Amino acid sequence: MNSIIAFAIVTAIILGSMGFGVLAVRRIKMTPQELVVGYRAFATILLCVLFAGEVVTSFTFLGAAGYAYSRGAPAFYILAYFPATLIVLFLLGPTIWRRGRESNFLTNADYFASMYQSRVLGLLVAICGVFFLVLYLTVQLTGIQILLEIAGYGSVQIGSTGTIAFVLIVIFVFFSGLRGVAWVSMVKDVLVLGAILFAGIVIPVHFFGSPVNLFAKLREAHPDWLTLRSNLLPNGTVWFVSTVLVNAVGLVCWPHGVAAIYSARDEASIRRNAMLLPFYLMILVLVFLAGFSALLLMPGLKGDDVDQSFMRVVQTHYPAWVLGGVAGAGCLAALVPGSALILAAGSLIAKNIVGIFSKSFVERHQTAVTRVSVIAVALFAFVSWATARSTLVSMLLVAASGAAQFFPGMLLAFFDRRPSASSIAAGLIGSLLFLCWTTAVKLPVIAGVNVGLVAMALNFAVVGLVNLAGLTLYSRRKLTIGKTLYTDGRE
Amino acid sequence: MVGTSRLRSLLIFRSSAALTLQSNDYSHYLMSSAKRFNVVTILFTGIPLCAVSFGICFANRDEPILFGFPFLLSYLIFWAGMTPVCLWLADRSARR
Repeated sequence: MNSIIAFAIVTAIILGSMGFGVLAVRRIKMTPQELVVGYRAFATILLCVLFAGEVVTSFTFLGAAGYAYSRGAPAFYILAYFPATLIVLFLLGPTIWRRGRESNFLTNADYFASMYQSRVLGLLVAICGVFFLVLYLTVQLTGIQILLEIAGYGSVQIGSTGTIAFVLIVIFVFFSGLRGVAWVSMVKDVLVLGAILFAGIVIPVHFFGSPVNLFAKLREAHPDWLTLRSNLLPNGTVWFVSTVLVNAVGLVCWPHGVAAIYSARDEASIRRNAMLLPFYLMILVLVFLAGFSALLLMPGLKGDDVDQSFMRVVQTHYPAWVLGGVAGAGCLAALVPGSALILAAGSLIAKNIVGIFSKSFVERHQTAVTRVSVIAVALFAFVSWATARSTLVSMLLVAASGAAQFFPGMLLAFFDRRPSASSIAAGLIGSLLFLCWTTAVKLPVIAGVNVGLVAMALNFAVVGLVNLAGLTLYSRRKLTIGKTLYTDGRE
Repeated sequence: MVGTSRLRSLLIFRSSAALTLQSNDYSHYLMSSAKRFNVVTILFTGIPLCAVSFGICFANRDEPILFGFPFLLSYLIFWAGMTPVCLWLADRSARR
């Protein structure tokens, strides 16, 4: 009975908000511009909501609490890197937006192809980008799976519910595009806010009297839980600083982050967005409180189960409708970023992978090709979710550090004298091979430093060396401005 | 009080009439003045950026306990709140 109530609420939330998203965009004609970057017309509030929707994912929702549960203070890096990533967005976002508008970019691979005048570099960036996006999407599908497992009180076939959620997300993306994602993101943000307020305030007040008492109890039970351990160990201060730095460049590196930047109406919207979002992201403190409460109320979870920490508390101590509401909000927190990820990956495939081989075909069937690519990406993610669930955390680490390797290319394109395309490609390939090696030997830190930062240093070094070794830095001619939707500025 | 049209322009993107615009419409781009980085901008973005990353080395402690929160957490909350202020100042200085 409980599982039916919880499930009904989850279903109502998902279907209702998706219906809202599709209704919001029903009169808009879908072109690739509209589908992928919302006609570059989002004003501050819609942009804020979209960024918040992309940043606060189910991994934040479950993972941050789980991290606080299993490790304590290292989880605070999530609270530290959000302001940092918004500062980077504030500094670099407007210029990226301007370049995108001048030359009609849809994807981050367009940016590379046009800035370094090389379609092959664009292809390389697109292939890597799709790979990382699929990994990230797998994480979101697993988030949905965890939430549905809990909402089902252990009585539900997870394979089938996961599949239904997956089909829903594809249908939604197919019809609504980025604008629909932004509108659903509004519903999602309200619901997630409610769920987090509940988990971070109601649970501590209910069981401990107040958050202050929660911390007092936590100090008794786990004295070392609220500070970082010593410097060079994994999860020490050095790890913390390097992880914040690597994650700070995330928004301007992830393909879906770049698509969100392109969707802005003007530069000022991006700046205002960066100024407003930190206020919203402070709710993450409450997620930590929820994780700490779970640690005291339900100790002993191990391995992947830590991600379920505070959901288990809700499941045990509260009625089914509360669980349904929280799980529904969590599912939206996976579906909204998931949709943005699928769109970004679909546009990369359509424009930078298929488009490079048959431009005329893609030009004639732009929207259709984008939509078919969307389905293809979703299928990839589904297969990877169904086959490789166990190695998920390591896959996400690879994806996040890997996406950060786009940063040198993004940054160096800001200067009039740019490195050659081949050096950027060499840096990217070199650092990704390094990351593959560290993943293969299971080495998350080197001398306490996050491997992502080491890989980025290597990336910059390779770019510099290749340029010094003959292919010198040379300045670019001025970009030509695209005339049609699928141009990358080379015509 | 905020006028309805102002509120609309904040909330709603360009609606159906504007959708006929070709993608080569640069009006927004031309209107936004090119802003340059100056010392004040770098200062006001650099301070919070360093505070939330390198500053951790100095803030990694439980005492003094503020409002029951461990110092590390209240330090990060403080900077999450200060970031918008710093960015606003940076934006203002860049526009001058």
